[in-house]
Amino acid sequence: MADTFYLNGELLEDPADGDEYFIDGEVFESSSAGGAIIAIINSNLRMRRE
Amino acid sequence: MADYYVGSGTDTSPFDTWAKAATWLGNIAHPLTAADTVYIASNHEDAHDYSANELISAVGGVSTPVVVISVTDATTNYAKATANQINTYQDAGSNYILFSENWAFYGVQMSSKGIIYFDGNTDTSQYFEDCTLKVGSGSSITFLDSGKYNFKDCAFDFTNDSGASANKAFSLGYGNIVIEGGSIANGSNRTGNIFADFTTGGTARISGLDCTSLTNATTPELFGYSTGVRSQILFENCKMAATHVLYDYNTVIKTGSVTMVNCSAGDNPTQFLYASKEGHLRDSTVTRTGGPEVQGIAFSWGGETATTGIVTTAACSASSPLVTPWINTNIATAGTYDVAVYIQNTNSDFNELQVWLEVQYQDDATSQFYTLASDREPTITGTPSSQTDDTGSTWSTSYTYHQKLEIQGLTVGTKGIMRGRVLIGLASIAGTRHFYISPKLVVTDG
Repeated sequence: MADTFYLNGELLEDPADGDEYFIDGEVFESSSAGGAIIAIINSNLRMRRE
Repeated sequence: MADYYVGSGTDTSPFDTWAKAATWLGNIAHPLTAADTVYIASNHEDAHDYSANELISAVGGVSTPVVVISVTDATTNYAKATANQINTYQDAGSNYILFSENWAFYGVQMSSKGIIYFDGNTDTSQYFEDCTLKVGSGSSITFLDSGKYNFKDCAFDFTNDSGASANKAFSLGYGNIVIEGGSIANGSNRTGNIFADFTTGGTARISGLDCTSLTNATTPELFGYSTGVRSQILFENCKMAATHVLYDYNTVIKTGSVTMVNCSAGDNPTQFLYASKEGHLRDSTVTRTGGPEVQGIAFSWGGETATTGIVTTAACSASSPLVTPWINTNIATAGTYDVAVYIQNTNSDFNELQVWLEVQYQDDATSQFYTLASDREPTITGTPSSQTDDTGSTWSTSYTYHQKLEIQGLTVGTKGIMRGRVLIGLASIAGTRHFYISPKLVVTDG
């Protein structure tokens, strides 16, 4: 099952295909490397995902 | 554009060498103009006895603030402060510290006998990085006017409190405020609402703030305000003490909203809360099989506790609905799709003017235009049908009425993000109705 996380209160399901997206002005890049980690660019978030 | 110095100098105008360095920042503040730089010795304790509430103001363009940098004494090498470089705490009077106009501070430490004010105006910017702000006993960090205020990796220190105080710690009444990183220090001195006064329609984003010193969890600890929230407020990824209270559900919200994401003592990535004047929802462990997971943890949207559902107020209606945050998903290939969100409750079926789904999607391969589709009763004066019965879902705790909010036959013209949200237009839904939303867009071929 695809994982999900919150950013700025919105839920995002990990697309896991390496694409990048803008959501509310922030850039998302999904990981294609199985671990379903989302890199968040231009953000100071202290993500707790391991 | 000039350089000035504050330290153990002779306090001689124009303060343009370390030898002539001013002994307190306010002494040179008024001549400062855009793009000036002030170097302030990291070990310099401000001993000036402020005779009045002397403003610390500067004249600077928005893009060229006056820059104040804490440095190793007699150098221009950055060094975080080890002394109270701006200090009214040692005054005989109860003098506050106030910043007006455009500033950027790096590594500076300040200690106030009273409030620390940020008093910008419509177009001003104030930036603080790696700074320590010690507010006076029982006083607050207070924003007096509109403007842009950014704090990066700053410590908000309540060490000056003479004892426990129920007073608010932050009064964020005005402006667009961003607090990223940093910490609240000696927060155990505060026993009431920490953040309050979001009264005038600005924005506040508090992200990655270490709040573990807030250990008095007997009252609403992080946010609560009974007079009327009109700002858009987001707390995200803030670390809390082991025992804590995030939100006072008696908070009165007017035109604003409060969102909290992942603010907890440990790894609790499903933690979520959203509140507006129409109602509130938060993460719940009453979940639907096949629903969303974060780090393998299933969750849904419910109410205040694990055993209550989403709550709406008397102000909620089809014309002023409680609107959930967006739920984003990825559409990998163009095509025709059906999109659904699953819900349940214990009283009766919801109709299409009480609860409905909206979906935003790209229906055109050559345009960036997103189309908004809805399964609300299309005519506001029409007779709404019940939302579709759902007979296939399994919930961890099942209530009688299972339904599916669905929009069929959406023609998606290109791959990309699709997002949906649920709108709740029924007043006074109680938590005991056990209304839960499984916040996942279930997309199938249409």
